[in-house]
Amino acid sequence: MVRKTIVLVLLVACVAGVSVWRLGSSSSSRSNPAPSARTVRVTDLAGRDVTIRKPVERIVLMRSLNIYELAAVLGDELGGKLIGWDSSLKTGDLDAHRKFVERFPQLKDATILGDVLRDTVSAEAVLALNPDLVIMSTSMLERKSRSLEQLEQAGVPLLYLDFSDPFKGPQRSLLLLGQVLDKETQAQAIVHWIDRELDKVFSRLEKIESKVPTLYLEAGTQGAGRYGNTFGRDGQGKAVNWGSVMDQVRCRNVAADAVSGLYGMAVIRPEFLLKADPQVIVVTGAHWTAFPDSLHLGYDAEAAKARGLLREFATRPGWADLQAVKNRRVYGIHTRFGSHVTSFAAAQQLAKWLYPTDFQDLEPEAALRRFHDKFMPIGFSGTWMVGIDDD
Amino acid sequence: MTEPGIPRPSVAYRILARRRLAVIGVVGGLVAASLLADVLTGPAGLSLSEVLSVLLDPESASGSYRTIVWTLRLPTALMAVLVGASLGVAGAEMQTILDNPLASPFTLGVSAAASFGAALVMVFGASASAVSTALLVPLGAFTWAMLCSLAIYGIGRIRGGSRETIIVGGVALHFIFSSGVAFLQYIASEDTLQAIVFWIFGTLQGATWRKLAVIGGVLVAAMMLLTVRTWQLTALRFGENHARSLGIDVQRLRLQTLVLVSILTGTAVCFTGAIGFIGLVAPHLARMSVGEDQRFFMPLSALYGALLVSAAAIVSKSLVPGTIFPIGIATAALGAPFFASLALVRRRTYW
Repeated sequence: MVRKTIVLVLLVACVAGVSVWRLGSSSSSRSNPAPSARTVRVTDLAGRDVTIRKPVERIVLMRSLNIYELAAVLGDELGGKLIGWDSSLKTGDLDAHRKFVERFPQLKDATILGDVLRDTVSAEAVLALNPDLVIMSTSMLERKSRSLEQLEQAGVPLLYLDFSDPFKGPQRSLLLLGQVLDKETQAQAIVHWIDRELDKVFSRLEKIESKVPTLYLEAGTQGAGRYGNTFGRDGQGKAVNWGSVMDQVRCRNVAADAVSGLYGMAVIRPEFLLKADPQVIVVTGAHWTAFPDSLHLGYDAEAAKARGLLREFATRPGWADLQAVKNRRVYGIHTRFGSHVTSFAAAQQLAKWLYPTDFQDLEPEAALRRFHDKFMPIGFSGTWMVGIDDD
Repeated sequence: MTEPGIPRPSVAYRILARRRLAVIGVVGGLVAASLLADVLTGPAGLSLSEVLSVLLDPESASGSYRTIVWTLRLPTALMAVLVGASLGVAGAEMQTILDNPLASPFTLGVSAAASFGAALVMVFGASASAVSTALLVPLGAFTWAMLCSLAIYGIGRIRGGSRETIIVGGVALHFIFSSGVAFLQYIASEDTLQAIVFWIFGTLQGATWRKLAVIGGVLVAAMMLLTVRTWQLTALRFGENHARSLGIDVQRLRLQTLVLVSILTGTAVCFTGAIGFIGLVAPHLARMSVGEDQRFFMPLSALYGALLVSAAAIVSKSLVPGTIFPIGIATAALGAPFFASLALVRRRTYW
């Protein structure tokens, strides 16, 4: 009996010792790899130092709606390298999801991970993919996710990109991705191109001295029947996403003072809008799968149908009296332009809608098509901007 | 015969009845005042005379003023009153038939079922159908609320309509539907999640005259049907055996009232989302004021419910003027301290 116990104790001690040794060695090799030619140390856009082993072959994109920068940098290599993502692209923009999966059929087999924003990511599921790189965004930082801590402790390289300023964040993110993925020339070319397109707007906006026009911008998720979110400032008083776009394109966002909160989004009271009587109204669209009434824009959207949906917004109670409706200045634009590499199209299009005479020569849709032709692995199609009275 | 200074019983009864009627009159006046204040306030900052002139003479008012008052403010304000009244009545009768001070229209899972129905439509139903979500969500909420109450009815019938069975069955259903809602929230996309959360907190926005007609019609019908049963319900509060000895079919009464209350609750919440707390508190306030006599207790519960929701609407409007604030948060935040202070100040027990 005593002998048996001793054997058992020894056995347990052995197993424990081995596993502790293995754990120790694996964590030390992961979190603190010896610097060599095959690793690169970068500072990501959250200000963290990240060590990444090269070549990066297995990428996890924690929020698939942020695919545009990665796709532009990687081009045709995207399908082979992207091995895991979440379902936000599928639910938040089905058209883009379909387009990417059609172009890269292997993405159909990419592992679907949980949502960082709701802390439903399983650290184990990410570890099981054995990723060389996990792409995050700074918007996830505020969520103190337990699984992210676990991933960091396990030495998985988390790289934070930043899209909070739609006209600067995407470029910085592109350059960082280029550096990490050995695509520096490509990244620089894209950034150079985008900055030139943005300059067409901002260099001229500075010189305009006419009265600042008023604008109301609403996410068309809920459709015409219900008011959707509009954008202002977040908890820290920072304008993000469309709030930031409106801050920068020389207009007065009528909801700016009314909206504040964690994400800088809220639904305004209809009465507030009627009183504010903005000069221009913009509704953002996408293909949200759960909202059949929403304004459908994107790769598979038809212009006539989108225009029909937009006209329904103009029939909301009291809207007939708004100057934006009377003057037919109600427009739709793709919601993703508010935070990503395609934000140049938002800048050009909003400038054109706000100052029709000053920006007559701009052709945002043509620019968007050129962007796809030059940099994106998927081709341009569909409808991305629409006016209530376009032909 | 009678001692001087103490009125004869019939006179005392009349005085009591008059005092109770006076209470109803006062609370009714407060509801009217609250309704008016609700219509008068709003982010558009219309002056008192402007609102009154639009109210009294809509034809000559400017288009946007007419829209603000007649299409936006008035239906929303009336919605607050009608939904509050519906929940107040539903709560009053729920507490009566279950003889339980913690019963409310939401105790038996009706609201959880409605939330489940709404969330189900938002997560799955909407993309599969061509019908607008604006119609489908209330429909789903109402259908599931009815299914839930049918289930409670079934459970109640099997076991002879005893209170314990109904409460235990209802609470079980509540947790089943709550976990269903939690599951739907878990799998929902983030935009859908926001919509579900908003629905669960409740909102008065989107009120239309047609919805008001539906809620108002159901409320009036339910109150009329309950008025017919006034004495039976009052007798029930003396105890089940007591009521039975008076010749009342307690099981029948209980199950019929249960169905009525469920329809009332389902109709109210399917348009606004679950506005909690009212159904629990309004009857207690009414009971403190006029006691158990259903002739006074039921209408006063309705009035207190209306007052609470209407006041909450005004408060949330003044706290967060520009954006929409979920009414359910305001009703609980406002109602709970009010209720607790009243209950603590009173010396006499009233249940």
